[in-house]
Amino acid sequence: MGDNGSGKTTLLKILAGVLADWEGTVSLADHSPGPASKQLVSFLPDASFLPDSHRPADSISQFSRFFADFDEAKAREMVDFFGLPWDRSLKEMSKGMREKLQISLAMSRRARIYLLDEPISGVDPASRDVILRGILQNFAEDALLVISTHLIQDVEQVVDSVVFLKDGQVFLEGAADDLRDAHGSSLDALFRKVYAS
Amino acid sequence: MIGSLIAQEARSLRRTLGGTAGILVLVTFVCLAGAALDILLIGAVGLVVAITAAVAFTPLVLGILAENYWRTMYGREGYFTMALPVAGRSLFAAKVIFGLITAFAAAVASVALLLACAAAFALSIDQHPARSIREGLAQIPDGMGVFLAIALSLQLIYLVIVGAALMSIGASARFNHLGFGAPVIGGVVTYVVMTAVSFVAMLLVPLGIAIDGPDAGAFVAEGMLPTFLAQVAGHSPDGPEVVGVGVLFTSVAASVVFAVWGARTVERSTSLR
Repeated sequence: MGDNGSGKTTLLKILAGVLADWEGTVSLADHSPGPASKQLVSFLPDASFLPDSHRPADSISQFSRFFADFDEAKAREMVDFFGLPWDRSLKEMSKGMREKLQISLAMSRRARIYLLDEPISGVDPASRDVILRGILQNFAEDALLVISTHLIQDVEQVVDSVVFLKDGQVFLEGAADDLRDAHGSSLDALFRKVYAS
Repeated sequence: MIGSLIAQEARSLRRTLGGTAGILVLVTFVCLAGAALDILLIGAVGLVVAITAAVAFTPLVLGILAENYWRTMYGREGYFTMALPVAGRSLFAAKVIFGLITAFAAAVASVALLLACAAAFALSIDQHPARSIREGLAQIPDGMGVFLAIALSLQLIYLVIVGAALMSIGASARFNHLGFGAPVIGGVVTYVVMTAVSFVAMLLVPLGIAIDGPDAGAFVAEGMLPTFLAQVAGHSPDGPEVVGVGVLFTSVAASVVFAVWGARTVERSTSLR
């Protein structure tokens, strides 16, 4: 969690192995970011990464050709769960619809780690709930799910641990319940207090 | 995995490449029909348009390949490409191999269309097309024909590899704040350096083609330096005039260097913005 420019997207890009310009040590399930880690990591970027001409079935086929852990049937279920039109291309879909399709694809991999960059930003509050429900219903209990967001209120009830980033540095971290107890406030209130100062 | 990546390239580009090729072939043949029938004005203009379409075929295909490379590697679609569990050098290799196959297919199509233009021109002046083309080709000395074929092939390989490598280098963390301007600047710098290096290689590499005298068209063991010095001094060289072929070696060397540099950059310095 963090305000704009705090480094959330940069961190996720490093973890996903699409950014090489960093210093330090990064380890994902004992792998440095690279081909081996990418087999275990499902990354949802904060960008529309599918061709505009694709219909949902095209994107599902594309994922199944390249990711051995991709569950095609699950992707189809998620597309139906989100109520996405099968006959429409991405060019003809709204931002929320595109986001839902990309989430369907990312969450249909049987990955060890899911990295979701701002999956609920830019969509209306009702859609946020649907998206979060779709995400939470579709990842294994033993997998790690990392969501970056500044919409704290929407994820407050579902997060186990929290890292607050500020100016590229870890500002605060801990179990969500511990932080709430220690500061006597909700994560949302804590976030507002931290980033307003 | 490289096979899957190449198939993906073909899948994503088949409509654009197919559509472009179809339009150019259609334009060429419609224009050639006018030229072959020698219709007043339309025939001459048609021939010029057909030749232009034939010549533009390969550069247009190279442009489509370059746009696709940039969009799928460093545009928003790059987030899919770069998240694939494959080494960066495999991504680079797949793109380059597909680019080479497509570029050579385009070059063959260009040559075929130019031959069709020659045939249409022959018909328009009441000559036999095949005989006319044969006679035209016979004017080119054997060695020069081989040299041109090899030079054009190497140039095509060079353009595909260097184009891909420059885009990848330009998109690395150090330069990517410049956007597509980085590969453009890299292209200009590379062009200037390669022009100078190629000129020196033509002068100094001791292999050339004689372009006059009894051995015209034959390979000779000397570079262009004697011919060049004689031209500068304003008199004829002692031996035959020679065109140095050292430029071929610089193309090969640059292609190898940029292939390694490009693959390493994708592997180690990818930084999506």
